[in-house]
Formats: sequence, structure tokens, C-alpha cells
Amino acid sequence: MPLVPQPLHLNAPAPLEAPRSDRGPAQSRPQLWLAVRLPSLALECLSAARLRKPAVVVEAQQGQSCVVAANREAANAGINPGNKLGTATTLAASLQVFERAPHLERASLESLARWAERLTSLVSIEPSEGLLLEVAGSLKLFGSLEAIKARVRDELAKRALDLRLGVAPTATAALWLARGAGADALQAHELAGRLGRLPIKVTHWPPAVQALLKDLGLKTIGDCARLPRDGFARRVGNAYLVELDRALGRRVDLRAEYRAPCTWSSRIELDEESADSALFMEVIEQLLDELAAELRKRQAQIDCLAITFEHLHRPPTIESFALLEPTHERERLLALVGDRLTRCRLPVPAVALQLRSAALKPLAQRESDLFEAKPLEELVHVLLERLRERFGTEAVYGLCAVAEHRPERAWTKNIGIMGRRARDEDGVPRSQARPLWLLAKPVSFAAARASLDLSDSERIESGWWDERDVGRDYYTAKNTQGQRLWVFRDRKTHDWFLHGFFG
Amino acid sequence: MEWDDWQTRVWRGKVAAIARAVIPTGFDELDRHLPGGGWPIGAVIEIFIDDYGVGELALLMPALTALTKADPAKPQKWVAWIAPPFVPYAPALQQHGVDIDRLLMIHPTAGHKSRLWAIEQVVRSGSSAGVLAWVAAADDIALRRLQLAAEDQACWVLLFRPASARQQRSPAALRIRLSRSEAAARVEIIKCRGGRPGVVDIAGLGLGESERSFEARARAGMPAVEQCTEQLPTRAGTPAVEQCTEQLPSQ
Repeated sequence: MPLVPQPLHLNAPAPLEAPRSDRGPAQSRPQLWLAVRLPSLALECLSAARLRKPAVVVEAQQGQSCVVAANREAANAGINPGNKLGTATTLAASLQVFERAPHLERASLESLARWAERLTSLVSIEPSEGLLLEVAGSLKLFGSLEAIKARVRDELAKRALDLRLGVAPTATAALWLARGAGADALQAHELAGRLGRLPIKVTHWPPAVQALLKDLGLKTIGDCARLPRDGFARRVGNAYLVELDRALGRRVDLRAEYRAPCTWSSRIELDEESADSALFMEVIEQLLDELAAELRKRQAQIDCLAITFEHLHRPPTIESFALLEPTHERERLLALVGDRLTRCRLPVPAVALQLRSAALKPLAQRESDLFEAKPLEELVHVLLERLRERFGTEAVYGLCAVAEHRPERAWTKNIGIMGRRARDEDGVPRSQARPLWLLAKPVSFAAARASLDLSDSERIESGWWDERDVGRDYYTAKNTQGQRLWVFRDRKTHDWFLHGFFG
Repeated sequence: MEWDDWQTRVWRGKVAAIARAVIPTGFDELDRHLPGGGWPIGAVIEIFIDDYGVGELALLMPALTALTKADPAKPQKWVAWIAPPFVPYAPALQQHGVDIDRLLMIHPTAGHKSRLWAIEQVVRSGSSAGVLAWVAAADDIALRRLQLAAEDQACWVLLFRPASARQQRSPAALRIRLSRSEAAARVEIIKCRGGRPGVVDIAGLGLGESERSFEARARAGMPAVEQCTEQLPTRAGTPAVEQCTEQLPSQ
């Protein structure tokens, strides 16, 4: 792209035709898109930011923290999106600053998309901005576009989300109208006029492109649309021409459809109120049979499930089970559930049982030999699940060595057992003898009582930087019972401590 | 009488008995005494100790090193430690050559029932090559179940128990008592399936000699876990029932 813009053929005759192959109105029925834009989503998805104090959400842009959203109090103080963080803090002294949380934004949008599926069958998520609903097919059902808009407004008011709506026959145009607060375009012929009045910034094209267009004296989308196509494509870039075509309905504007993950649930009512765990197991087996059949049919697997025990006059008891990796095997699920049920007692008899799965995941095919036993990895997973189910996650762990002089810090638990980690064993010379048994906490003892036969000492002094500094002289000692001990004398207090056995 | 007939009458029980899977202990004195020349695999081994830190871990280190050593031919199994009384110290284990990535620590909830349950789960899962467990109380039935599970999965199961428990009847294949005198560790073999009771003194256990001995073994090209089928050295004119030359421990 040339840095110095050259004059375009502004008064060239009619714009070139778009390529015939994918011209827009090849679609069978006209579409109507409702763009639901959530301008303050970045702020609203953070529950901590919903205070009556100035708050902003910042994001690192080109190495600087920039404000991406500001609440009303912050806006009153003069803070606008796009400000530098430094500017914002000078404008409002008691400013609360939050990092942007894209995963929360996504979760918020997905939740909204699941709700929006009751309005239309085609919901698309525009990342960190809003939703696009194709509503042409729903107009008859709800009566009018206004009725649909009212429902959207009600729902978003309930969720305490700010919104802007835009309506147009193409998704891109609807989004642009929502960004620019343009009037609705219901028919394709209104599109060019409504879009034409919008400023170029609604396109969210890169700043360099927007600056170039501004230098050319173009202010609105209509200005762009009036340019000759070949010149626009050459000077600005073909991608932007294509986007313009999409907005104006000259090209097909495809959007990825959002599909809520499918889950599965089934419920069995007991003949009478019961607290018999054998009966429960029978019912659960039946439910798991159903689940396993469903999983086989859909070629899916699950990694989380919950069993709800419904009681007569009190809230239900919910037992949830998490697996280390997804599975579709009934036996494995049954073993997991059975383990817990044989141990826990229900407070009161139940009248019905419900089994719910989390989102079904596609089955990962694993190659296995016909005669070979299960892969070791899977055996370990099953074992860990059972042990952790009974003793808790913290009770099962691996060991990890740490390059550290202080003996009690030279090892850590490795809770994520299966994950391999990189160790640096070079950090600390390991030439000195270390005991196989370490006491979790050194035990104080009177040196006089134990007749110790001391070896030469090893001095360990370290850790002044994190306020857990140690200054100790370690000895290998032998006591009368034949135990070989690892003892130390604190250099400050001169007290003796036992720290390990040589096992 | 025909020649074949004579052959079938020769007592060959001892040859059959030692064709078993073992893992060398790494201590020649002990290997010589154990049938097959090492710790039996696929069996429960009980180790009775009065105190912790008398060399009970050092005694196992060569075998543990061999079990955790990566073998590209086989998927690498785990060695589980169930209810260890103290922290198994990772740097020290590394000094002994143990691959700590293959160790799994399990702390069951209080009570010997949950400990035994955990041991059985680990052994039966088929994911573990070895289990080291600290159990004070275990009845005959529980031990028998463990023995069967260990046989089934060819797992090396070690139970550390207080010395007071050795009076109990047990189906374990090997029961030893470990104590320490001035210079040496004393391994008292109380019961040994296919072998005989006796006392073995291991000089300098846990003082570094064990590693050297094991290294020598590794250099000699002996596989870590092997099917020992070679015959034990027999004394000339061995009577059918051998007279134990070693002193039996007075109980």
C-alpha cells in the first residue's frame, strides 16, 4: 500500500459489478438480522465492577494499558474507552482498574446465546461484542420485529446488561448499524441509504486503513461505496472491499452458528419413598444403561455427571462426580458412583433419582489391540479417580524435586500426577547425604538425652529473601536403637532438632 | 524298573520351586539366601520393624531403582507408597537413582480398613509395578486377598508392620524382620516360601555400599527384573530336609 495516497478516480462512472459467482441474493429467502451489541460487556461480566464507583477495564494494546470499557461513574469523570490508563487514573482518583477477562465475556455471551435460541434457530456469537440473530423466520411467530426486540431488551435488563440493537438484511450491516446507532433497515433497498450515513469507524477496520480513508477525504461508508471498485481494492485492500460487499448484500455473508453443547438427563421415580442403597444402585444402573446407550449412539463421551436425589419436603441432594478424562464406559461410571453410594448415607429417603451429564464430548477413538489389555494410562486414570473419590484430591500426589538449599523446600507435591514437568536438578549440588525420610516439621529434642554419635557437619544458610531464612548445622547421628538420624542445631537459638531418618 | 520310571521318582521340587519371577535385592548376601535370588514378585512381603529409620528404605532402594527405570520395551508402571509415616524425601530418592516421576503417594483416611482397601485397589488396577504400604493391623483374610491380588497382577507388594505383628499367621510369601546393630543391618528371615529361614547381616546398609553393589550388578549386564531359572548352588550331599546352618531367631 503506498504511504502517500494518490488521487482516486472519484468521478469514475458506475462501480464495477461484483463477481457473478457469489453474488448475494442467491439465497432462497431474504434474511433479517438482529444485531445485539453489548457495548459494556467487558465491564459487566465482572461482578466486582458493578459498584457505584468509577471502574474501568483495561487491556494491553501495543505495550500500553488502554481503557476498553468504563462505567457511568468513570465516564462522568471524563474517561472514555481508548484512554491510556495513566490518563484515566489522573481523571478519577478512586478509580478501580480491572484486567479484561475474555473467558468471562465468552461465558456471558454463550449463556445469552443459549437463551436467544428460543427466539430463532440461527444464533451467531460476535466475539466479545454481542450476538447476531437471524430473525426473518421468527417474525410471524412473535408477531413483529418490535416484539422480538422487546423480549431481548427485557432479558438483557434482567441480566443488567447494556445493549444496542441494529437490524438489517445482512449480518455485517446489522452489526455496523448497531455500532453506529443507525436506523433499522428492513428491506434490501434501504440498506445502501442507511449504511451510507454511518461513519467509517463502525467497520472496526485497522487504524491504518481508517487513517488512509480519512486522508482520502472519506468520512462515511457511503463515500467508500461510491468509489470505483478496482481502485478501492488496489489502494485499500481487497479484504475491505469484500467486507463492504457483504454488508451491502452483494456477497453471501456467512456466519458461524452457535450450538449449545448437548447434555443428557433422565429421571426415574421410585415406587415409594426409600432410603435403600441397594435399590438406588439398581435405579442408577438402569440410568447408566440408558446413558451408555445414548453415548454409543451419539459416539460421545462425558467427563462429569451428577445424580440428584429428590426428597419429599426438602431440597434435593445432589452428588456430582468428575472424571479425570472423558469416558463412555458404563462399568467405569458405575464403579465411580457405586464407591460413593456405598459410603454416603442420605439424610432422608428419596422419591426420585435423576442422572444428568455435563456436555457430551465427541468420542476420541483410541487404537487398541484386539487382544491387548487396556492401555496403562487409562488404568492409572481409573485408579486415581477411585482413590481421589474416596480420600480427596490432596491425598494422592506425586513427588517433585526442587532446586533449593533449604531441605524442607527441596521437594514439593505434584498434584497433577500425570503431567510431566521440567526439573532442574543442577541447581543444588546433591553430593551431601540426604535422608530418605524427612520429618514434615523438625522436632525439637534435648541433645543431652539422646547419646548421639555425631558426624561432621554441613552448614545450610539460605532464604533471607523470603523471611523464612534458616541457619543450621546439620549432622548425621546414630542413636542407641541403631537409627541413623539427620539432626541440626539452629545457629541462632542453639536448639537441637531432628529432621529426618536415613531409613 | 525302567529308566523313565526312575527319572520320575527323583525329587526335583527344589528346581521347580525356584523358577519364579524375582527382582534382585541388590545385596548379594540377601540374594543368595532368597529363592530365585531376589525379592519375589507377585507375592506379599512383610517387613517387621521396631523403629523407623533402621534401614528399611535403604534395603529396598536398589529394587526400587530397577522398578522405576525406564524400559522402552514396556509401558512404565508406577510404584505406590501408601500411608508413609514421614515424607519420602525426593532429593534422597534421586540420589539413590530412583525415578521420582514414577512414584505415587497415597494417604488414605484414618483406619486400617481404608489402607487395606487402597492397597488392594492399587494392586488390582494393574497400573503399578510395586506397592509399599505401612499397615499396623491386617487380618488373615485381608492378607490373603492381597496375596491373591499380587499374584494376579504380578505386583511387588511390601507391607511394613510393627514387630509385634509377626506372631500373627500370614499367607505372605516372605516375612522378614529388620533390625540394626552397630555396623550392620540384620535381616531375619522368618518365613520364606520355597526357601528357608535364616539370618543375613548386611554390612553398611544405607551407607552408600548398597548403591555400589547395585551399580556393579548393573554393569555386569544383569537385567533388572528377570526370570531366574538358574539353579541355586547346592551343597554336595544335601539331605532331603536341610539342616539350617544359621541360627534361627529365638522368638
